[in-house]
Amino acid sequence: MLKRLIRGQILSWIPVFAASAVSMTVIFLIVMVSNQITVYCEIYRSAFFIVPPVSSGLLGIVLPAMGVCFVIPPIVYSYRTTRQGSDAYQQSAYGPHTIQRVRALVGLVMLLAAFSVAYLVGVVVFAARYGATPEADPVILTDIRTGVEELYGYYYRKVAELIYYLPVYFYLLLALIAQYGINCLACSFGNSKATQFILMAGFAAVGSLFLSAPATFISQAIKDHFSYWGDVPWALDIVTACDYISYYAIGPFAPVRLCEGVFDGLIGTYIGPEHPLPEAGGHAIAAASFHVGVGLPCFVYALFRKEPSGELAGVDGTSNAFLSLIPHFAILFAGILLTTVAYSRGTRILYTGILLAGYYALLAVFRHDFRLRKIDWVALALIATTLLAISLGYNPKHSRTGW
Amino acid sequence: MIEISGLSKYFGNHRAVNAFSANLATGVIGLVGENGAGKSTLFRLISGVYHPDAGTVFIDGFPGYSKEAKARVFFLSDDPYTPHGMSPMQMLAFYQGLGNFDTDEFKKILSTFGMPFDRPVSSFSKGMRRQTFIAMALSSDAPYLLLDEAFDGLDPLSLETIRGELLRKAGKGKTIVISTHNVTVLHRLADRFLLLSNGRLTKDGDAQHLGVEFIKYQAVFPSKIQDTDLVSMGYRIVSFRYVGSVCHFVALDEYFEEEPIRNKFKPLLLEKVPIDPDELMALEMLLAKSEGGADDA
Repeated sequence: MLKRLIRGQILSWIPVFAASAVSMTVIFLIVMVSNQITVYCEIYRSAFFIVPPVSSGLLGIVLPAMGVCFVIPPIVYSYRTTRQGSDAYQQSAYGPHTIQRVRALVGLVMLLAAFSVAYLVGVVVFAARYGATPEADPVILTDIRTGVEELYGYYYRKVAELIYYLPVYFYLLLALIAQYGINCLACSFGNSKATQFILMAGFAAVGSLFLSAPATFISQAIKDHFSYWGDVPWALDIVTACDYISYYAIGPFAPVRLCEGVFDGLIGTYIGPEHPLPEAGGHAIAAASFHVGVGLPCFVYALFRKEPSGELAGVDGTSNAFLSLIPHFAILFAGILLTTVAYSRGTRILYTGILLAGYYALLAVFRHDFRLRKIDWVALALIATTLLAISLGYNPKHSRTGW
Repeated sequence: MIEISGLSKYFGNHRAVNAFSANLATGVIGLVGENGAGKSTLFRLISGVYHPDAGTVFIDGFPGYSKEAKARVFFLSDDPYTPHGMSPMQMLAFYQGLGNFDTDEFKKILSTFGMPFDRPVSSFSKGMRRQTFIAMALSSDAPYLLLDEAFDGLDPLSLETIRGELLRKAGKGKTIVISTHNVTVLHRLADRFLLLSNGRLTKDGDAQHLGVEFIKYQAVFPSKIQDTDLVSMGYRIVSFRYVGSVCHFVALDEYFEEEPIRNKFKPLLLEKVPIDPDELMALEMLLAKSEGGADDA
């Protein structure tokens, strides 16, 4: 009978697979077809430049694939968010746990299959184009940064090494399972589409904020040095909120960073702006390792956790309504932004105080109650400690003048 | 047999089902009640979609929500899940993954209903979709069928066909519990009625027992009277209205005597008339509501 369940699920998932595969393939193909692979020369102010192959085009697949990781889990758990779905599935003799597992695994297979199709098509097209461009082969690149102001901040290493697409593929499979697993866990807590998206965003924020510090330390251990910028090692003054999430993410941007910062240079020739972090490569590896290391157990937990009863189709049957998580996640987002807008330790501490007051106000508004529970005190203490650690930090190579 | 004892379910502070107890054996059972009475919630509790806050359900001796119990019940909700773009046969294949259905029986019933086999169910009209799902429910091997708002959107011809199929299945030993607002059809179908009001079981009996407490009259008075005139005389009036010059009123039988009315108002006409099933059920609901009042915890 389980075979029939799987068959029925696959049948109903075919449109999702088709839409995912087509969207990823189209985006990746556009990138791989338009990727510049012709080596050409140009003369500027009497200087001679060689413009080599630009990039591996990996961002063309990793970004849409990570995006699909945020689309499929809500579909996997959609049976819990609509009355029709919960009526159909919850009454089944399999029970909610078996159905949850089967749907999560079928969704994963669909995701990986759609990704594999898109990846294979894109890489084959790119390889064909590259092979048909003989001028690309004999180019030997040298460091041409010095004295060329137009290309300042750019550096070149070598021509394309297509073989690296293979390990990247296997890494991306792992990264997709990890991100899919994190989002599945988030969605398994939600009982409506809104709460599922809030929880997914919240889990991404948890990754970016709370797990960034240890990843940074590991990165520093790898590269054996601290950052020279900023007054704290993991909250640089020069990065924007977007950079922060990108460079420090343990969440969905970790694979993006690894592809951009490491694999891009291995396969093609990195031509992006010089990275603001000297330990960027090491950090990208550390963050991506954390992402996979955290994501895979999340998926296993999502598969085996027992659903709370009576929390279906947006109906909060118990007092454990997940909308109550909104204040916690709101504060996490605010915390991330705080680290990017406050330029000194003094202002960070001030903002931390404002943030905690805001957190308390949000809790009171959501619960219609000004009293704090024990668990709230624990949460407040955790958030305060983390934010203060980020605010104060420690950087042995920096003169402490940030106050 | 489905044995339900003290079943209760809360949504926040609202008590949707309130200490419901009943045994459901074979035959067709009608579950009636006003909108929001708790019929759908009760079905969801029996079929294991919801977990109760109190009370127990046993299905053929197996505790509710166990695999064995769930395998014995098929619940067809008022708005069932329709996978997009699937034909009736593809939809059955999808639902085969969630329960056991007899494909040949499904085809046979669909043919009886005159349903197309090749068009997507999601493109069907409401009535056609309903017939397709009822065909699926009737082809289920579960001995207990719970059909919520079973006759919604069905034309009289389809209703008659479905009534025949339901009776055929009930004759083969299935227990079919039907909730519907089409009481006339239910009256010709159900052996037993459960009346639900504010989540409570307010009446449980066969069709003959329904409405025995009501008495309906039509009367023509020389001058118009009000319901308060009758109430002040000690009558318990459930319904009172004029159609033209004819006054129609329903009173509780146990308090009713004609003579005081004849003596006081000298009616030109005062005669007892039968109550049709739809009105009867409405009166039952009205009475249950007036006796029960609001019941939010």
